[in-house]
Amino acid sequence: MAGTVTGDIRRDKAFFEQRFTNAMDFMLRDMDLGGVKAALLALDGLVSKQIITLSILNPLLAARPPKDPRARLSYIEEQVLGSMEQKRERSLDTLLTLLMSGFAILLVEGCGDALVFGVQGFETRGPEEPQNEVMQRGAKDGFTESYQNNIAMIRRRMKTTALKFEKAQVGSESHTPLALCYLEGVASPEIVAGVREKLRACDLETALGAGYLAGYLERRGLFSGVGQTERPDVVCGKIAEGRVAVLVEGTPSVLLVPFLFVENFQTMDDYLTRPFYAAFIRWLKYFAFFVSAFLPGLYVAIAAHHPELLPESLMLKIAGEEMRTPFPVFLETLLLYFLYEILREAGLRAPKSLGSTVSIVGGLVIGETAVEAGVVSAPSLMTVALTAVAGYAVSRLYEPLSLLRLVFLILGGIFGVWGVTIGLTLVLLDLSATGSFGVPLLSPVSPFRARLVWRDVAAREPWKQLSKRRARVQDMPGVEKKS
Amino acid sequence: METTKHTVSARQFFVMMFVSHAALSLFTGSRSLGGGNLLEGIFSCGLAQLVGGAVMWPILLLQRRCPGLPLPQAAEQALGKWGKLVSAAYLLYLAAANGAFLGLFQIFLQDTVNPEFSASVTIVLLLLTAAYGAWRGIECVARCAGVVFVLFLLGTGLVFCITAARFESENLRPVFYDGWGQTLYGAAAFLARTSVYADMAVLLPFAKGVRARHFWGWALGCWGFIAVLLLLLAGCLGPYADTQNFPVYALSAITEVRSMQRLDAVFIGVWIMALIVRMGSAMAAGRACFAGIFPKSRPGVGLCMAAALMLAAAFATAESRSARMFLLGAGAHLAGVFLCGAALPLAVFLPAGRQKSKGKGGAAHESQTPLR
Repeated sequence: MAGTVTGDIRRDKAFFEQRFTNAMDFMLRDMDLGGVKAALLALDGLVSKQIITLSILNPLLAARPPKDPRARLSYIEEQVLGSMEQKRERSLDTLLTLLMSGFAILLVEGCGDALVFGVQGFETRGPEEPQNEVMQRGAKDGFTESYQNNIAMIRRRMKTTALKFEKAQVGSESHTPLALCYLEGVASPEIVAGVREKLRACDLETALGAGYLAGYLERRGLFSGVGQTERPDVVCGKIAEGRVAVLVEGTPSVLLVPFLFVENFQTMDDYLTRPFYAAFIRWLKYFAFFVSAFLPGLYVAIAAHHPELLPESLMLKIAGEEMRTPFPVFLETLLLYFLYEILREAGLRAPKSLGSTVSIVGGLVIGETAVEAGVVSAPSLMTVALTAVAGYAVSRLYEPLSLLRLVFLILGGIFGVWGVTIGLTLVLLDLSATGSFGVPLLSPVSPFRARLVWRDVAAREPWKQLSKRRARVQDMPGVEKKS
Repeated sequence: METTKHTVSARQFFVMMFVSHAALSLFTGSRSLGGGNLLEGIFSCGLAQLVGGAVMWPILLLQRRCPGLPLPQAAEQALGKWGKLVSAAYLLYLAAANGAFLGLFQIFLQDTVNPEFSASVTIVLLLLTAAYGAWRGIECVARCAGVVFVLFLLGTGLVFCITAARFESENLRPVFYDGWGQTLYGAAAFLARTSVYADMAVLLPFAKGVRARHFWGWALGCWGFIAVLLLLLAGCLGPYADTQNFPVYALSAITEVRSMQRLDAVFIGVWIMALIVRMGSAMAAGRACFAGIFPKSRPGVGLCMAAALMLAAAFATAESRSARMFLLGAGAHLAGVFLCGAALPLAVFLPAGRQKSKGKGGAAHESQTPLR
């Protein structure tokens, strides 16, 4: 505990100077306000020097504060400074945090309070379209690293006083500010309280991204009950259905809770196109998920254990190709799987200028030559390639999908189709057991509610119906009712 | 401590029971029905379901008297220390009956399908998956059962639709030609295999909603499914079905969709999913019973015990002829169904009623057994 402002300017200044020893960004400006000593503190790079000079320094230097120390701060606050965001603060700990958040601090001799000004002026990125969530028809702006800008982006779209932004902070070292965003009267108070409680219980030292907090908001399981988006329109849509968004300073990703499994297949474009097309695209995504998760496992299972399932001509073709390669189909597909994952990781991490070279060398050269040299068979290569492409149709599920693929591949290789079905049941059990703030992850599919399934899962109803029949997340079937 | 009074809806519960019961239809055949006409099995099954309604009556009565109270707790409340014996009887019956069916599945894999991998390891894997589900709670198994139910209907529906093209009415034989004997025996055989009554007795307190109506819906659904299956077996396979140990598998093996020659692997895959649901719900019930015997034990211990007993029964059934004769005998199963389905719930219901009239019980109870 650092204590409070003493009013002795030498001691108060010494406190800050000691804390910021060897910190070249620490700025301290001593002033004499008509015989009264004062000091202005700020951190270079976090504040706008222009605003400080024009709105704080110039008026202060022209001011003549009263002799009575108790009246000095009121005089400066009310008659000298015209800053919109200013407040008094006594705690030195809070002052340190504010200073490091881009606020300027004014210490005045004889005053037991410091004045704090919001003069943030750090550079932020413009609201570009997020590369991970590219939309055909949706808005082209995305969140940035400044959570205040992100708040403004949401506010611009939801002009209602029911829209609330609750301030909070995580990280004992980083003191990362964040905001809980929800619609009062729409979001369940239990869910909001639950999020608040879990964030309060968060014992992180540093929180450098939204992903740090996701683990604190979800229960164990393969699939996450916490969604992430970089799009303000998606956040607005979700909070209108009763969800809570968590905006974290320093990251463009916003957390959304509760987040159901079916939401992984929903995109903003679904709501901007005609309903029949949206339903068609959605079923394509379900199919892509199935292909991406099960195809390698099923291919190996069928080729190695149940060839009778295949049409005769295809079976003979696969057998012919396998005759030319040295490895069994299971090992070959496993090899290709790992090769693909390595190439993907390399493509992601390589400098942009080399990214396309990695793809060409990896995908075309290695792939083609491997088949021509008879190291791997063409059907196996095609299976892995198809799986990889299908995975990007449901990009939100890429992480669990890449693991599932491997698990099903191994199960299919050892136990055939039955191994895959046992694995599928295990995944279903895991999904069934997971919930997000009392809402089952599989809802409204299981527990089943036909109206909700036809509304926005199996199909997408036209807006005329969607707007009339509201479906809040807390009204999903299977939501735990506390006794 | 915060408890949830009910964890699954009655609809979810009976869907889970449907999947659990339908999982055993893989073993349906004329041999298990006492030989002879498969069509008579349709009547046998209907009769078994009607008798099942009578078996279920004490369970429903007990639930009405002690709403929300799991059977092990109700037994202890009504019978004192003797109540632990009731829990032990349920645990043993659940383990023996379900383990025996699992053993039968292992025999099916070894003798009929003959896969390249170990059938025993498949059984262990299946049981471990079910144990994971039971460990995560009855809600988890019930929700999973909802999805498996759809996959099961799609899978079996596909096979039924394809095989229906091979249906020949010449294969059908007149019913009741040899009197009612076989129908009655078949009804007893069907009833003997309906071990889910024990699951219902233990797990029903965790379901909310109108139970009697849902029960009859379940009974009708099960009967309809078996009836279609038996009709197709009789019509498509004819006398060939009588020569098969697992005619349902034989039916799936003749499925052919254009260039795809056989779909039996997919069919068995779907059946495995249903078996996992069955074992999962049985293990959840077994765990509740174990908690009734040893209230201070950790939930994981009860689950491990139930799984170990089931595995032992499964291996005994698959490996030992004498154990198979006992564990798969219709007589023992029938006795188990009547004991755990009707007699024990009635034995708990009567003293519970007396206690209620004395003012000792009867209040709505919270479920105390840790099922999550």
